[in-house]
Amino acid sequence: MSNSSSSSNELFGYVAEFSSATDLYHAAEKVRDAGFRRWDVHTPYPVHGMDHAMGLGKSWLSALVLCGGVTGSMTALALQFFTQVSLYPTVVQDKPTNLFTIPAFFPVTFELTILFSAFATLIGLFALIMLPRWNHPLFNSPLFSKFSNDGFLLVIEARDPKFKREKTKELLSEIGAGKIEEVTY
Amino acid sequence: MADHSKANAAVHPSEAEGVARELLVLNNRSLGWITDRICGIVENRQPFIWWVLFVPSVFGFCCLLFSLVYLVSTGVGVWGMNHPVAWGWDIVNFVFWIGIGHAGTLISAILFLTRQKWRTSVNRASEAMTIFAVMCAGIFPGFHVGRFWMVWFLAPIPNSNGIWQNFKSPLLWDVFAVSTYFTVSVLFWYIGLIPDLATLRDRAKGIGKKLYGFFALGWRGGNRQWRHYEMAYLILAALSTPLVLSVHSVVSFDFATSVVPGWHTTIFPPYFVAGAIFGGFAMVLTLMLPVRKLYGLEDLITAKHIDNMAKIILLTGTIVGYAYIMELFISYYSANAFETDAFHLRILSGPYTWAYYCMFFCNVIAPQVFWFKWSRHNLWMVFIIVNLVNAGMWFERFVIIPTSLARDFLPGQWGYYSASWVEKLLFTGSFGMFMMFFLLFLRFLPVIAISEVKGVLPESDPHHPDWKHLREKRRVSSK
Amino acid sequence: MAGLKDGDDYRDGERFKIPALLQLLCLGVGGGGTLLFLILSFSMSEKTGAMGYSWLFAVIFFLSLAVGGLFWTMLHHATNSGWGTVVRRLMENLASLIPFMLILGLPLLISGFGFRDKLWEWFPKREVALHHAEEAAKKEAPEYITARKAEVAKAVAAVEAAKKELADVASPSPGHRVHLERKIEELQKKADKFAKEDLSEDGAIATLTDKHFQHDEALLFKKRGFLNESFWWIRQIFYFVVLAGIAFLLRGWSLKQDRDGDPKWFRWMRRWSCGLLLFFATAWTFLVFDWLMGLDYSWFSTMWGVYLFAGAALNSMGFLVILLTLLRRAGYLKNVVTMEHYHLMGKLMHAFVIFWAYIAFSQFFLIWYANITEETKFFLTRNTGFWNTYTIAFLVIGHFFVPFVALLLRAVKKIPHILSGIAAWNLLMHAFDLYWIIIPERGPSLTAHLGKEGIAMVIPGAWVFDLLAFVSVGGLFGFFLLRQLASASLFPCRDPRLDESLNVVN
Repeated sequence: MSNSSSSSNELFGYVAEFSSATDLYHAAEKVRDAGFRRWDVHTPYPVHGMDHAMGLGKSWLSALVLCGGVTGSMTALALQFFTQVSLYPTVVQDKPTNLFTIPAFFPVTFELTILFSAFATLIGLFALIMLPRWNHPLFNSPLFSKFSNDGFLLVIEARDPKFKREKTKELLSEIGAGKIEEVTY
Repeated sequence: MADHSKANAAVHPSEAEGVARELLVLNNRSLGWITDRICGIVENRQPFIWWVLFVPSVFGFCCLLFSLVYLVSTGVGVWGMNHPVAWGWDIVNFVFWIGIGHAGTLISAILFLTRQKWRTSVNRASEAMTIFAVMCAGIFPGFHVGRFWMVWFLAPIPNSNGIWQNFKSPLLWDVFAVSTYFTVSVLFWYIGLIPDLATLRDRAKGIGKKLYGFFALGWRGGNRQWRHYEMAYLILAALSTPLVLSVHSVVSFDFATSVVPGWHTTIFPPYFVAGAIFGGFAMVLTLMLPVRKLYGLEDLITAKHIDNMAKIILLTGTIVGYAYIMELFISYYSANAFETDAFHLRILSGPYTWAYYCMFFCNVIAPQVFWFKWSRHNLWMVFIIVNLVNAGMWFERFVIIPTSLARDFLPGQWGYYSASWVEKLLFTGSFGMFMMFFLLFLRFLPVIAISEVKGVLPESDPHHPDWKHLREKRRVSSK
Repeated sequence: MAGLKDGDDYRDGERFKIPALLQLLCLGVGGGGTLLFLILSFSMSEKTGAMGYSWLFAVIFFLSLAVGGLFWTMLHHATNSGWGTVVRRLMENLASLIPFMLILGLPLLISGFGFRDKLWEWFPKREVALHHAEEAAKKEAPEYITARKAEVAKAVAAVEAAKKELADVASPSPGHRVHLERKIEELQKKADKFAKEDLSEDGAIATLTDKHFQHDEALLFKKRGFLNESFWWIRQIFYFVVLAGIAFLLRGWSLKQDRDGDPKWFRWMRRWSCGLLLFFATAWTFLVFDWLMGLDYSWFSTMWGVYLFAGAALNSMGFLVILLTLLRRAGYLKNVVTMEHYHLMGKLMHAFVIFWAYIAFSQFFLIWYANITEETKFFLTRNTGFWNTYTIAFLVIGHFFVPFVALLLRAVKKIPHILSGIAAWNLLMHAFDLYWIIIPERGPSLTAHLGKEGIAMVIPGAWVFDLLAFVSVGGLFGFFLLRQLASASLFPCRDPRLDESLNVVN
């Protein structure tokens, strides 16, 4: 287990605790303005407006989902046309075996569109947030585990080009951090 | 106007009676308290009454297994269905269970899109309910096909006979709709669970830590994760909303695309959807009222929540009433002899008139009590009404299915249907299975969405209470 | 410049000054157009029928917008919502046009104008059938009475005969006795039934009229409880009282709150809206049954009320977006309405585009699939020839796909001008939707008497009247709307939820 004393390992970064969502929000604005890139805030719930405070854009997950949806509807239409019109045409329910039965194909087309979109959402989400990843240096920090309860944490990674061991720590105290912990790999 | 003090000056005391927004979490509970209380349910020993409920549920589940084995080994002849009523309790139960599920999706998706924050304390349990209800629903049509081992014929897979499914058949749409619904509900539920599983992981020890940790996928709650996560949640909500409309609409197509009098009417899709949400909310309350009491969740599931759900039951019940009246009116107005007779048989002289009146009373009359505030705040009253609704929604499907089939176009084909003991045991058993899964869910997973409830506390908003500077940014650029 | 500036007190609200030129233009176009329309309809009697459809189309279009406004007002109260307070007054103003629009609909209802009997064929058909039946009944009555009386006498005699038979048998066996008693009972029943019939002259005429009516117009006979003139008028009054009454009540309370700021009004509006929604739904459903479904009295669909409601709600929201943008361009509401409100309204539009499509598709789909003659006729007219192209182009693509795809983008909903553009497109499609409901009935209805050879799907040149009616009613609609806008603050300035609405973030 690592804390500030075990400096034998390489430093991963700092975990700093703030007292409330509001404090964390303002701290994030300052870290953003200081020009850091590899940092994040860890909270028990998604904090409203934090994307703006961190200077993050809109998630582009929806574009992936659109692709999924289009794939789904095309799959469904292709499946139905091939099976109903060319492979195995049967006249049932007084409906012809050609294109003009298209209203009867809507329900399945719709369902597959939704199904493929949902899978695209799931896969896209995991790709974007890079999960599953069961092992992470942050899990070494006792302070970090508070994020899932009531901790409002800010993490700055040592890989950030602006990261300076002492200066960054000072910055964190300046912007109102309570406890600050060093995390090693 | 002399006072340059912005919008707040225009405001009437917003604490005036009936104006102030009620808090969603009572008694100023902290984030830590919320975590402890909800995780405590999973971490502590279950109360005695949990076992009292669990043992009979498992027994019920065994009954279900037994009757299914008996059914498959003997043949569907053991059911009471025969000519002319070939759809009986099995399809009634299918529609009943699938309808129950809809409230879960409504709460998790539609109320999410409409920013109804009170949904957070009931959405997890109702989503779980959705999944278990759809599982129960799937049993019935699956076994209704007769030769259960041929059930794979439903899937569009190339086979040696070169035969393909009929994609123009409502029954095949059902297969797609229900399986999509189940899959998407599970995905939605699981994605919602991830942050809470991480909470449980961080509190657990030993094997629990490994298991919860495995399913939490290494969630770290960073905002770089949350922002995509929120988007995914929003997208899934936006996908589930039309999905939930489509599922019960497709179920209603099973009936409404036919020419059977009493089945073929254009209002069926929205009427079925409203009915499903109606029945589902009744089931949510049936489950949540005892859970709330049993685990001391009164601060999280408040009178306000129950009040809101009762109002939704009133609304959807009234929509269902509108549909009943429209059906009756059009059956008169159409002047179509078969339509008129079908409804005449339903409400006046048919063999199942009793069922129609049970349905009408339970679904339309009984919920009207919820117009009065005292009834929405009296938990016993709510509990009684929602159970009437549960029964009423079962009767609704019963009224629709056998009533129309028992009286065909030809009087020579008329008959009467009543269920056999196998069907009754199956139905009872499906309740056992449903309860068993729900109790296991209470035992092992957080019954309330921890991270979502935390997000609706007033202090969770970083701009609380000064919204003003945010507003400046969002003002439309004036031209 | 009009409008609130930063630092102004919101409590005094914001007043709208009617642009005099615009008002004059609306009144000129509306009043002049209406006058011209009526003069034309009186002078060209062969065109009156066709013009009735035009007027109905125009009135129902603008009425649906007003009714949608009422729906949004009530929904706002019933759901205890906070975001929409700043635009609620616009909804209320829109709703307050319902009485004007219903009054503009009066020429359709009063048979003297000559529209009514051409629009709703059941009126003349019923009249003719009833007239014919009565004539025939009067002729047949004396003969009928004699014949029936003879039958009654015969039945009574049969009972007497049976009684005598029983009395004559000295000592019947128990079986024989029961048999005879039963026979007497049955004959007595028959005689009683015969005796019940009213064999006075009026009674006989009534019986015979029904018989002939049923023979001539079986459908209208079966529907006579609903499709008759007196009940029709009762219903029209009901629609007026309910729809106009609710709009009047809710706007009145809201204006009172502007003056005294008492939250009591807020609570009243909220409580009453829930219950009144029931009346609203009933009134609108049956109004569109009577006015639109009644264009072909043999056709029916349980979904009809919901379908027309979906279109009304969607386009009323679209109209509000456009109105809001125009007002802002004129300098009003600038510090009150933010792009958050636009975003929310855009989302509601999107939801209702989908809802409309869902309802429209389900209605079409179920009728198409089941393929029952008396139902498919509605779509058969609209799915062949010109109307088929029309359906696909304007309803499937125009009314659904285009706005659906456009509104998927978040950015679009936050730019007032683009959102208003989409709303305008939707309004156009809504007009096409109502046109599609009403106008295909015109050709066949008006030319039906010409027989198979003469029947026409389209009345040539009638579209000019459609346009004229639309512009005229639209002008008057605009005129009344301007006056309503100016009669009170543009937003409910002392509503207790105003602060919440001003600062809404979503």
